[in-house]
Amino acid sequence: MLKDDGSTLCGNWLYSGSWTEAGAMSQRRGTDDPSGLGVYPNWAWSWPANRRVMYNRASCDPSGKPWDAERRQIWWNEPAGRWVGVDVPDFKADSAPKDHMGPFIMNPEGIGRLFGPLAAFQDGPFPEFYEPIESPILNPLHPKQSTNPVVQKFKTPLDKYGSPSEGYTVICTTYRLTEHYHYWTKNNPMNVELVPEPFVEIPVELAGEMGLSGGERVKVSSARGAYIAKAMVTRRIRPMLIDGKKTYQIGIPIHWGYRGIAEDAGRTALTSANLLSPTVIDPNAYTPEFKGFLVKIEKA
Amino acid sequence: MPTGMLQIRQISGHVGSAPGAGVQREEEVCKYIDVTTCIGCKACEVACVEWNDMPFQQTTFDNTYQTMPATAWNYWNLIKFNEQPREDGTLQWLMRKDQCMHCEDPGCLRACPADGAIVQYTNGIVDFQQENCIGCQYCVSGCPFDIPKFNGTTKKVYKCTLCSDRVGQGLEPACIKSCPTGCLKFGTKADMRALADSRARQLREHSGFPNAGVYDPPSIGGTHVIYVLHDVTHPERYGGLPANPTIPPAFTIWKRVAKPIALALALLAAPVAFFHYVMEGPKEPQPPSGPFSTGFGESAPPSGPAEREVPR
Repeated sequence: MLKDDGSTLCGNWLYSGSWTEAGAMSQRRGTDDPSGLGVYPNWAWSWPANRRVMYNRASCDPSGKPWDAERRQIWWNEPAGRWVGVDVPDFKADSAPKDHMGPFIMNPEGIGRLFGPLAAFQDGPFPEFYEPIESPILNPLHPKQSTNPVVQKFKTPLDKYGSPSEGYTVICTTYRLTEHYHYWTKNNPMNVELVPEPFVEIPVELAGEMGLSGGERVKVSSARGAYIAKAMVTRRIRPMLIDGKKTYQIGIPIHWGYRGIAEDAGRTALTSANLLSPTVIDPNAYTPEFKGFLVKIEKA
Repeated sequence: MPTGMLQIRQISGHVGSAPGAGVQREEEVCKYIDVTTCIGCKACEVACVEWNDMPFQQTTFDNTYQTMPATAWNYWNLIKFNEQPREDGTLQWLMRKDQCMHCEDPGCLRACPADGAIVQYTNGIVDFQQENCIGCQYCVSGCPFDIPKFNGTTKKVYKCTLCSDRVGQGLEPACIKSCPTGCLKFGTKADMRALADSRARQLREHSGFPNAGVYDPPSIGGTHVIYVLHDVTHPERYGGLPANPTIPPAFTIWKRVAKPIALALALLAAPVAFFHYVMEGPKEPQPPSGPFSTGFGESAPPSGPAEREVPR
């Protein structure tokens, strides 16, 4: 039991109770499901307090009776004066319904939010879906405002954007590999031994259309720049049907560019994958839009 | 290679029993590889290269995430990546850690003619002792898993040692220590087999893999490296794992038939020589003669009688 007198240690309070005298709770593999609701309370452990459904007080009406009598999560037990049930109550256990404590205990008002508080988000109080700045389609929800109007764009001559009508029809995404760390490990022999050279992952269907086989060099270009690397033809990235149109996606791991063991040996182009991606910043999280943009691809 | 307290069970090319056999009892060890929870991060490859102090080698891009086509004399541990299309159109990306299987009945050891070049410890580890290796590469032909690899410079053969140097000191192998998902485990053969069986049962009953099972091939007496596979009925899909690995019969004949016969004949030579002596007596001493005198004496007729035959 965690104590507040300094005699116990926890790290993050969320993990309090994940390791008890019985050992690591996260290693439990009990498959019993007494409620029949798929709660599996003895399978591993979920923070906090092994609670399986957050805000589960919301499954009851204001009087503390489950909304659905067939699928009961927790309920108020009047004689015991406590919340009980098949899950750990995410609530003050002895707060009676007549006290009107709200189920969303992390919000000051105690209720769920459809309309976000004033000034919490740059793009308005309601959650909304926007297409990326470069997208193969217009937003089917509202084509006239396809992209986020308050997205932050850099305003240099290099910040250009391409569209499908200009021939940029292939979706490109960038990512990292487990074998490398950012741009550092391309200078470490052991990591370079594992994945020696940059590559572009291309669906077999697209490679078939291009007459391309694995290991050949391809040139990927966006409105901003070009990137040359060898092709990895794979079945792992599949064509997508977007708005009735077959659309291809390719993927580029970001770990190369400028100098490195493979680059210095002349085995690869000395450019960075970020020459392709747009510098467009999400207005709330400030995340750049490197995961979805448009390119052309051809044999190099 | 220093192996601490490991006891030897079998020695290649060795006449007689293994020294110290039976002095101590040892648990059989086993490496457990759950292919279904491997994420292909290759941490085990790096751990192997680092612990065994293997040099950097330049690899080339080959349209795959796999580091190289096969293990090498200086690269003993390799994740094999395979894209396996399924009947329903989905895809399984299979990743199998390939290394020496440490067979209970090791084909390499059976094939090896060099005394002490390959040993099997009582705990099941099969280890190459390069100082005794004669570079004949019979072990390469004897292995059903294509594991021993020849180094043309040193003229020796190398492979995974199951970190016998670490295990001998009570440590787990380097690859096991590095695994971030827990798909690699190390322990006694009985414990690892039980764990693998229960994991395979879980995959069959709860995870929708009706053919899940444990790869521990009985055709070579089981192995000290076992796999949990999603589909044990098709081990060849996991980068060429043989369904029924066998040692080439030539090596069985060599070890079990030809070698005892040759040994019996060799031993028979002594009594035969003795009886030959008794029956025939000692060999008569020959007059000392060099090659020239012998040639003259046997091929050229003596001049004296020839002269005498000349008619007067």
